Amino acid sequence: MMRPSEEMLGRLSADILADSAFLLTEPSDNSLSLPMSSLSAVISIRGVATGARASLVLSAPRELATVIAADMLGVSVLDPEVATHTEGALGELVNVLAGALAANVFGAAETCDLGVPRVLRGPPHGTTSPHEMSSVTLCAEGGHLIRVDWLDAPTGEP
Amino acid sequence: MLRMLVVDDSAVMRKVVTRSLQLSGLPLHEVEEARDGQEALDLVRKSWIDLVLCDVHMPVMNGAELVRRMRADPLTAALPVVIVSSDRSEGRIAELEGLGVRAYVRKPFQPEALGRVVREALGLGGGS
Repeated sequence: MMRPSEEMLGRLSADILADSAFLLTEPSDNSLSLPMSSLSAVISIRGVATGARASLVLSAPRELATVIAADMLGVSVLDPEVATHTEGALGELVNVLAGALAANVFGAAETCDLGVPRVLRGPPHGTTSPHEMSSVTLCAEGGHLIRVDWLDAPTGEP
Repeated sequence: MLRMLVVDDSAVMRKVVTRSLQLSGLPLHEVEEARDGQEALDLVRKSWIDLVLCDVHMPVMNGAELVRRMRADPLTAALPVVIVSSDRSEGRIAELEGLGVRAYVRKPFQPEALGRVVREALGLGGGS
């Protein structure tokens, strides 16, 4: 199963965060944990011709997700609209990142289907074997951590 | 004065695109929004829309199916469509260009760039 290298995952994640949410980040330690108040946006990726499948998870503390939403909407973080769209903004961010990663991992010639993003409350669970995922942790302003996980679909999963 | 339709299942993205259009200096009368291809199809059959900006991956009806249905209806066959999507696959882009979309804008995009693309799609001259 093709999977992005941690270098590619970190580089594209940083680029998308900067271009979409004006958020500058730098690599951090993968062993650091996100707080329980975090949000995790999940999206499925499927190669149409090959049937290759994966999930992408983008996790960030709710406080940072709020800043991301405000930056994407072009409003103050105190704007009442921001709370309404915080989860949606993270979902849209994982959607954009999935598109960029799919083209790089599967190749631009492979047509991919992207699922509808879902946003879960809490940081990602570390239950998947390291052989089945690529992960990076980035550090944004204020010391907030962002985690990006590419998870291969288990063999035989419908 | 222009009436645009923004189609995306993401409420945030609908706002981002709408805001970009409002900042572009285009002579906008109204920017309508739809959450998926079916809502968009219902809207373009009831309202006079000058241009549709549409995502690809949406529930209920995706962007490609929306364009296909619009092309099949004489009332909407010539309606200009600009795709705004995170999908970067050549196959998808080729599929949509084959359906006659005017442009394909990849997310993330610069607001000024979106304004330029829309002007070109509508055959308008350069402006502020």
